[in-house]
Amino acid sequence: MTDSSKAASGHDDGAAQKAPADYIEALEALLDAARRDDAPRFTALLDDLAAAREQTLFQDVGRLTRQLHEALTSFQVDSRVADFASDEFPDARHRLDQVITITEQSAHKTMDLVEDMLPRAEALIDRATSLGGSFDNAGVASGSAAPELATFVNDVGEQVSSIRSGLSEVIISQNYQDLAGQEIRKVIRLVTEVEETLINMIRVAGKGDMLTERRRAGASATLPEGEQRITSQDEADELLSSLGF
Amino acid sequence: MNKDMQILVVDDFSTMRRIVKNQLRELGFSNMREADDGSAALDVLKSTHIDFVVTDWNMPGMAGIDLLKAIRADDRFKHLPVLMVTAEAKREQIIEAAQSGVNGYVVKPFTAAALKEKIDRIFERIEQGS
Repeated sequence: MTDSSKAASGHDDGAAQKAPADYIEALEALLDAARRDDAPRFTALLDDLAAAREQTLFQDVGRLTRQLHEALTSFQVDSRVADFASDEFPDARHRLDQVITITEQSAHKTMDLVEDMLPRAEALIDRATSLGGSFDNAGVASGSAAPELATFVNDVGEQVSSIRSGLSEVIISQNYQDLAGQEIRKVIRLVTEVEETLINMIRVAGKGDMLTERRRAGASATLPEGEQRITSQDEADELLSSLGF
Repeated sequence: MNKDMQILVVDDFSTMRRIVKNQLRELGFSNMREADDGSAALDVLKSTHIDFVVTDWNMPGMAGIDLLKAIRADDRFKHLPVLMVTAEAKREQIIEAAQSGVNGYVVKPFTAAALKEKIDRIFERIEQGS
């Protein structure tokens, strides 16, 4: 082997990064080949240098991959986690949908009642107004109760007008259902995303069968054939073994 | 303002469609159609004569802002007044709606007075323009 291979062989002993000084020997050999105009040797030495550099990168990737692998294999998928993924998250979504439905029905019921009352209030206002007018025309001296009656008719008109605008506000205030419903939908989307992530984690951890056979805690780590995720696990293992883990 | 005009109310929540229709009725309008998202609204626009669109922004399916853009991009509808009634009140969103040619923007929860004021202003401008 060439002199430079000594410098490049330092990668075998672990994750330590090369110091710049570690390259001096290889660089001098490279310079020497350049001065002698020895093209084959120069190219070989340059390739060795590049390989040494790549090796450091591979070590980093390897370390990360090993950490990921360890995290995945130690991921404790007990029946509780599988329950979350298979039952409780869909259940939570269903409950939130129910809240939207219940509040929607309730808001409509309120508006049904108000819309039934509004025209009654309007009819009362109209009659009080026209009756008030006829009192004015006829004068108030036609009976002892007449002044009081005239005042009453006037009051009815005013009070029912207040009731009418209050009823109108009741309808507008039902917008809570839309505003709350939009917030609930955002939570439903979040729950759905968490659920999907959890299911993927369970699969990546090789515990996919627990989603269908939840009670078998500690079930074997094999996945059904054709499961797509197994490919990436295999690839990770392959990379690990190629790096000597 | 022509009280006989046809108004299309677009919102995914039936509660809010009903509230808006109720308020429009209070203002004297009686011809109203409904749609629960932008694409349903476009279907109504293509099949019925509509004079005024009141739309929500955030809807599953086609959002109100995309409905607005589709209306402005179509020669048949591009002059249609559009009022946005929405809980989306971020600065960028209001700017986007304005740049897309919205005629008015009411933030939920709204009051009857606010809705009336925006509608009045839209039709004042239209009458001044014509």
